[in-house]
Order: sequence, then C-alpha cells, then structure tokens
Amino acid sequence: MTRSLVRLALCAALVATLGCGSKTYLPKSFGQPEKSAEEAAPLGGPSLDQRRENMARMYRDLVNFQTSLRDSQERGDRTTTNALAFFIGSYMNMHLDPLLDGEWQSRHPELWGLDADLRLAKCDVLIRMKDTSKASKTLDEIAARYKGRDDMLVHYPLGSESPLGKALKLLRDRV
Amino acid sequence: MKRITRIAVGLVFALALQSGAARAANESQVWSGYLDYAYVYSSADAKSLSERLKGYGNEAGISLDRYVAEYFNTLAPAEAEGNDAENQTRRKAIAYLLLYLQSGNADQLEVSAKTIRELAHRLDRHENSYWYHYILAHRALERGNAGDFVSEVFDLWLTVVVPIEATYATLDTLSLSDSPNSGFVAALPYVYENIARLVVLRSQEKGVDRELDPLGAIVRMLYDNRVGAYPDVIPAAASSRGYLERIVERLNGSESDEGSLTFTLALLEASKRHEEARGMLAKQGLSAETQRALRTATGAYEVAFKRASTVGGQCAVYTRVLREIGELYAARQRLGVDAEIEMPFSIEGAIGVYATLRGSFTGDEWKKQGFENSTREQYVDSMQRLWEEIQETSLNVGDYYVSRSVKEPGRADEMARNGARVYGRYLSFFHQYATEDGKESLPDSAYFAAFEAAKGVGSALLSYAQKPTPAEVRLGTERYRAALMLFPFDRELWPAITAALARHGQQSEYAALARPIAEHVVHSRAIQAWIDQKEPEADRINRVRRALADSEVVLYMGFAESTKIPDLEHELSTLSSKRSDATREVDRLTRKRDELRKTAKADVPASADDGEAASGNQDLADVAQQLADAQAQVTRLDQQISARTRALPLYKETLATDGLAEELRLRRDHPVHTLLRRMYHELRSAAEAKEKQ
Repeated sequence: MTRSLVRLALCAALVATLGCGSKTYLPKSFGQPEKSAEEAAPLGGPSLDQRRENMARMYRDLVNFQTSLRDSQERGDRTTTNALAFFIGSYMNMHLDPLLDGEWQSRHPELWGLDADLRLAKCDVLIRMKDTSKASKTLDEIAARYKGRDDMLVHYPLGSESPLGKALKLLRDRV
Repeated sequence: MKRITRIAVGLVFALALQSGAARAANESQVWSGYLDYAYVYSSADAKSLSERLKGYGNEAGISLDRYVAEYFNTLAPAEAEGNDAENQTRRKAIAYLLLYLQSGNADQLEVSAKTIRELAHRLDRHENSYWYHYILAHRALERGNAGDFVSEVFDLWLTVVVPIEATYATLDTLSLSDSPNSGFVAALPYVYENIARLVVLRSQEKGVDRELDPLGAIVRMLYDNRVGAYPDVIPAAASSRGYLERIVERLNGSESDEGSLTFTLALLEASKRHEEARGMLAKQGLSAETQRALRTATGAYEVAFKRASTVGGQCAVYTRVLREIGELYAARQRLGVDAEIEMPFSIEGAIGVYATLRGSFTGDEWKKQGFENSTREQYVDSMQRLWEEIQETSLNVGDYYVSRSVKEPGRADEMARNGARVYGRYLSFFHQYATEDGKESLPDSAYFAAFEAAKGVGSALLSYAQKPTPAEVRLGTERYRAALMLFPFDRELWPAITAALARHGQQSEYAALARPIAEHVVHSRAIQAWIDQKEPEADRINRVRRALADSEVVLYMGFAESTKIPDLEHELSTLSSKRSDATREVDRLTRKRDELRKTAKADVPASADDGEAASGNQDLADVAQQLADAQAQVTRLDQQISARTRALPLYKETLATDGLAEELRLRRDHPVHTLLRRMYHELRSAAEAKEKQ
C-alpha cells in the first residue's frame, strides 16, 4: 500500500516536472523510503564513520548521475534523459533525502563539509533534470543551514573548490 | 574458496549428514541450501553452470530438473506454510531460472517469472526483491524488450542495492559480513557482480543492442568502488571488473558517441567478434568458418554504426572496420584466396566521415561532432587514427590489385588500373587535406604513405600494366617524380624515372626532372635543421644530401645501378691506365715533333729541293696534329678521372639511406616521418607563395 502511494506520488511529481516522461522505463516498484536521518543520528565512533561513508558514496553516485545526464543531454537523447531523471528522482526520494533530513550533520564538524557538498551536488543534478523548483528549495535550505558561513570551502563546481557563497551564486544563476 | 560458498557448502554438508540422501518426495536440504546461495554462481556461463548443477545433483542424490518436477511441482505446495512457503516459492523460481540459464529453454524462464510473481506482495524482503527483479530482467532480455530490462535493473538498484549497501558496510566494518546471520546483506558483492554481468554481457548475448543508455549510470556506479572492491569475496580473476573498466574508460573517452552505453557495448562486441575472426584467419586462413566469422564481425560493426548518433561515433566504428577490410585484402593477397565478403563499409565512406570531422576544424564547431566532453587533442587524435586506417587500407587494397595483375596476366591491365585508382584516391585525399591550416589533422605517417601511393600509381601503370596508354605512361612518370619529392631517399626510384622516361623516348628530360628534387634536398631548411639538431638518422640523411649537391651524382642516381658500383670503380682504374698510355703517346709525339723541327731547320740551307722540304713540313704538321689530339685525350681523361674520383665516393654515400623506406614502412612512429612532414609543407608553402606572385 505504502509502496503504491510512493509510486503514485513520484509518478505525479516527475510527470509534472518533466512534462512528457517516457513510460518505457518507469520502475515497477520503489520499496519504502529509508528512515529519516534524524531518527538514527550517529553520535560518534564507527557509526559516525559509517554515516560519512554513506554520504561519500551517495556524493559519488550524484557525480555519476551528473555525468550520465550531461551525456544524454549532449546527445539530445530525451528518452534517456527522462528515464534517468525518473530513476534519479526515485533515488533522491527513497534514499538521499532521508539521509539529508537530519539537522545535526550540518552542524557536526566532521560532517558539515560533506553534507554541504552532497546538497550542492544534489542541486546541480536537479538543475540538469530541469527540476528548478526542487533545486531552488535545496539552495534555500543550504543557505539556511549554513547561514553566515559563506567562506566555507566546498567542492563545487564538481572537481574544483570554491567558497560556499560563490557556489550558491553559481547555482542560483543556473536555476 | 569464496567465503559465502564455504559457508553454504558447510551448512549443506551438515544438513546432508543429518538427513541422509534426499529423495524426490521430500525437500532436499542440499538443494535448498544451494538454491538459497544461487546468487553466488548464477552468473556463470551455461557450460560451467551445467557442471556445477550436475555436481550439486550428485551431492543431493537427485538432479535439479527431477527435483523441480518431483518436489516443487507436487509436494512443496502442500507441505509448506508461512515463511517456509515463501522460501519454497522463491527456491522454485530460482530453480527454474537456473534450468533456463543452463539450457536456454525460455519456457523454464516463463515458469520462473510466473512463480516469482507470487511474491510480489513480499518485496519488502530484499532477497525476494532481488530475485524478483533479476528474473524479470532476464525475461525482458529473452523477449528483447530493452525498456522493461532497464526498468527491472533500476528497480533492482533502488530496492535492493542501495538499501543493503549501508548495512553491508556496517557488518563488514565489524567483520560480520560473512556471518550466517547477516542474511542476504552478505550477498552484496555478488549482487554487484551479477548486475554488472547482466547489463554488460548478458544483454549483448541476448542481442539487446539498443536503448540501454539509461543504464550507463548504473555501469558507472558499479565501477565506482563496487564491482571488484571485495577481492576476498570474489577474486579479481573471477570478477568482471576488468571489462567494466574498459567500458567506463570508453564511456569517458572520445570513442563513446557522447557517453552512450548502447554504442559502447555494440562497438566492444564488434571488436570482440573482430578479434575472433582475426584469430581464425591466423589459424585457418580464409576458411568457410573464418569467412563466417568475418561476416559476423562486419554485421556487429554495422550494428554499432547504426547506433552511432554522432560523427565521432561513426569515426570510432570506421577506424576499426577499415582494419578488418585491410586485413581481408592482405589475406586474399597472401593466401591467393578470392573470398567475397559483402561489406557495407568502404574507404569512400571513411573519407566522408573524415571530411565531416575536418569540416568542423575551426572554432568550437568540432565539439558538436560528438566531442563535447573531449579535449581538442582527443578530437585531433580521432581524426589522425581514422586517417591512418584509411591510408593503410588504401595501400593494402592497392597492393592486392597489383599482385592480382601478376597472377592473372590476362587481366593485368584491368587489375593494374584498379590498383592505380586506389592509390590515386589516397593521393587525392592527401593533397586535399595536407594543407598548412589543417596539417594537424594528419598523422606524421601520412606523408610516407603518400610517397608509397604515388610510387604505387607509377609502378602499376609503368611496370604492371601490359599496355598502358601514352597518357598513362606520362601519368606514371609524373607520379614517380611526385613520389621522389615526398621521399627522396629511395634510391630505387631514381633509375625507375629514367626507365619510365625511356618508355616515351625522353631520357634526356631526366636531368630537368631530377634536378629540382636534388635541389630541394640540398637547400631544405627542414633537413638542415634536422641535421643541426642531430635528430634521428641525421648522419645518414646528411650523407645523401652532400651527395645530391653534386650534379654528376644526380646523373649516377638516374643512370647507374648501385649493384654495378664495382664495375664503375674498375672503369676508373681503366681510365688511369688509359691516361698513362695517352701521356706516353704525348711524350713520344712531342719527341718526334721536336726531331722533325730540328731536321727541318738543318736542311733548309743545304737543300734546294722544294719537294723534299714540302714533305718534311707535312710530316711535322701531321705529328703536331697527332700530338694535339693526344693532349686533348689526356685532358678528357683527366676530366673523367677527376669527375669519377669525386662523384663515385659521393654516389656510394647515397647507399647510406638504403633500407630507410622499409624502416618507415614497418614503423609508423619512426621519427623520420616527422622530417617528411616538414619537408612536404616547406615545399608546398614555397609553391603556393610562387603561385601568388
């Protein structure tokens, strides 16, 4: 039941954002979203390491999504772009967003850098998916979470470093 | 042995000891254990899987197909309840999948799919979800439905891979990933491996060669610290990591048709088929089986070509398929077998692709040809590699026709003209694109290949054609001259020009034709710089350059034969002895003249006989004339001796570059190719500047 609802919600959201989603590649089931990160906030030790590892893996996944989306867009391959957007949207809803829900990791000195990178990468991918509404919300959330820390160095644009304030401006210009 | 297998085998062994040999009427604990761990071995190829299943059947006392028929289809539905029913349903679906993978019988896959669908309400359990989507993905491939296949793989990733990744990492950190209680989480390394094989290997085996591009993201993620990251679970040799690496390198490179997985897999598949055909060609020659393999490879290249959506992609296909065409012609020539293989590809087609790429040379236009994520160097490199294949194939095909003209004297003219046309097409292509502004897009070896093609036209028309027309003789002679301009270090070609001129009675034109070539070598700034900087082969080239500065050496080059240098040296010693004889004759005649003069002076007062006096004067005049002739002879001999003494050693120096052509032919990266490039552009620039004046 829950699965069907999630699926319906995702379908509606993506069809709305993409305009014309190809039905060919719609996943048939999505499972359930993971628990919110706040519920399972690691406090330290191996759990903290584990959280860092999960975040790092998801950051790399986002980089791979960004590359795949860029390629399909450069080929002018809308079918692939739509299928990827659908898949990535599901990935974010089911796995990434619950991981980013928690407030604590944006305040934790050992994780805030990675947390900011992950959110910026998510925003970059959303822009590539032309989901400007979600991208805008993500930018607002980053600005709110990291208020007054515009000088913090982040990994954006992908593959280089810049102050958070500059990274946010670069992304806002693209939204 | 892999840890998981070890656990499974241990567990199964213990159960087997407890229950004794299984009978079809009961659940076999041995088979239940092996089916639960089927993710360990289900990706094996059909033959290995068959052997494994046979071994497990021996262990269980009943083969899998009998067990399926006698247990799953009869007793199991009645026996099992609750969780056990779910397990038995999953095992039955897995068993049918294994039978399908072993035999290829699609009916068994249908039963497997039907069975696993019974668990559609229990996909919250990762193990069920894995097999559900894995089996349906196989069914999509069997049906050739790329869209459904992509959906199933995406579902597999979202509902199985990502959820168990976090847990696996935690268990692995605590060294619990191989604990029997870790459940399906422990299967993660196999899940990665199985998905990788499904996407990059199985899809191609099942002929699903289109619409796989969305899975490029999955392939990139599998390569990113997943497949091959657990060598203690799956040894590197058993992992598909290496193949995945090749695919991702291609996807990231300039030969992926802008990161298209469909294209990349199709091209790799075609290259694999090409390798197989090449292996057969080496072992069996152009047998019927080899010809079939070549046709398969060509068909696979055709598929890749159709999948290419950019000119860069087409370039990647042509770069490889031209090699196949060249190999086929070389084999025909070598083996004397006239195998006809339909080729939807041609040298003209490749030239067309090159022309399109070259048409985007300026500004950022080139990026639009499939190089958006490539550097300009990669774009130029792609063009150069395509060029190399065009030149090699052209030369192979030209050589083939020329050799046919020898084997079939009745068709000598036809074959020689075919050869000349193929060489000529490369020459036209070369002259069109070897311009100052676009020379970067040519490989260094293109210039020597142009020499070979020009020489090929000359030889085809002048040596291989039996009845060339006067126009063809003139064309052949001109091509020989052009060849020497491109590569003046081929000594065989100088006398070939003389022989060609002789065919239309114009040997006298040799000097006028050859002198500019020699002057080009002597005055070339490119050669001078090469020698000054002591570049490779500078000494050999310098010796030839020194020799060509002597106009008599140029004549030797055209009219003498290097094999007759000893004869020329012998002639020199003959000249010396002739000179000695002539000198002696001069001395003798000088003495005689002097005597006659004395006699004439003494006789004048005593004799009044006019007749006698007149006779004495005549003798003196005759001797004086003979002396003058003898002295002229000595002078001529001196000149000849002097010229030959100077020119002959220089002519011998031209032997220094003997073999250089062969070295350049064998090594397309030979440093002297760079010198030929510089020499050509130096000459072309000078000619163009002269035209403008």
